[in-house]
Amino acid sequence: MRNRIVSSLFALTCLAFSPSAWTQERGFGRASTETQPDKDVTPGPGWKTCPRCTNNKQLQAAYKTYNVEGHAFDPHDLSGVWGNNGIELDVKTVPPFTPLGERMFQATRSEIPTTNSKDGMLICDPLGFPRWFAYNYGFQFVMLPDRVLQFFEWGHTWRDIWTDGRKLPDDPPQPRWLGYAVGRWEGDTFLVEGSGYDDRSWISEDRRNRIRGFPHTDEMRTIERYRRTSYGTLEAELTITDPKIFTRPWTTKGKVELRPNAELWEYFCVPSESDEYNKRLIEAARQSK
Amino acid sequence: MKLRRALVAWLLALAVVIPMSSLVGFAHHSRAHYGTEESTTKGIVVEYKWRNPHVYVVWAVTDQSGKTTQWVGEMASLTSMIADGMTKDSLKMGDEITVVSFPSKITGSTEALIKKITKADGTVVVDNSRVPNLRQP
Repeated sequence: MRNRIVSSLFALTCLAFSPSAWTQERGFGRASTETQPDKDVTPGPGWKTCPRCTNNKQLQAAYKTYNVEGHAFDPHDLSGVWGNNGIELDVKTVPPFTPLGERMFQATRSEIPTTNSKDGMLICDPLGFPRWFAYNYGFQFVMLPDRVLQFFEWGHTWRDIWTDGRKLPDDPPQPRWLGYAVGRWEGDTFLVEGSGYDDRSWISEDRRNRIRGFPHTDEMRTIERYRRTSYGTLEAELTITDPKIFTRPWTTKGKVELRPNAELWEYFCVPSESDEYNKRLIEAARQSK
Repeated sequence: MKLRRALVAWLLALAVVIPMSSLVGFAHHSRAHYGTEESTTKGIVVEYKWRNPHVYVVWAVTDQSGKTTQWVGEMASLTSMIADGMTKDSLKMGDEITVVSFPSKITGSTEALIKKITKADGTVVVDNSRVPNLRQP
């Protein structure tokens, strides 16, 4: 009996603190606060909202308005605006580093404790891929006959995922921040292979303590798997392989929700704005060391 | 004995689950430098920057001796603040505001993370839900 009570307490506790319990239907994330408006804030009639401009109440309403639950869908059509913040890399399963990987990882350590001073994002370097998988403020797939375009709100940029049968380049003339990507269907799963990445980007910030970033070399390869399991849900999986950095592949699995009444808005990383921000917050912290 | 073990497991689960639940609203700039002590001040808006990467407000607080200090209050990105009900017109220079914030831990700093801003007429300008980020390691 006691065990049953304790088990029930455990289950109730987990449920109470799970993000999905904060909303009645889908787990969109943040709890409501006093000032969050009930209705979408848009530029005017006919205009849509942005993925991050909506709160839980507005998302719940949009899902009802657009009949997302139970809506018919084609599993080979990934069109739409998805998520609002990317899919966090699974830091619980970071593979062991190689000796070089460990050295490169330690070299990313911030010079100050308050934020990562070595993060290229602070000076508006492109996030690169797969950092744009993990952090994007929402993305949009556009299906074309010969390619799938993936647009990202963060940085207001895109990548081409070629589906015309071409192979990844063996030795690309130029490493690219977003690499080279080719895609194909395996059943209802859209499989994307990527390589040719510029090694100046990080795989991601290390969000365990936010004072380092996960490095990669130009030998990194990625495999993404996207599967639309309902009109409103896209399952996504990313596997990163870089034998110079990690002793085994690193896989992250996640789920993103459709933003049914959203359009990607403009989020440029503006050097002058970042410079001002860095001066105020980062330089002040550096000087106070 | 079994009961004690189960209770320990439950408490451990709490220790894991509660911090995880606070990670939902990640921003891309660390907020580790802000303290956890809440501060409430009244002042006048000097500047309101409706800008990325993070919106901020500067307000002037005058103490009993007549000395004025300008505080800089950080919020989140434009789009996140829109979701919380703010717009480019939410504050203007000269507005009298009451600010609940978490000041920086850095000695001498007058930076703070905004929790709540209320105007003199009682209007709540923002009740920022990103404050749980303070619990980040």
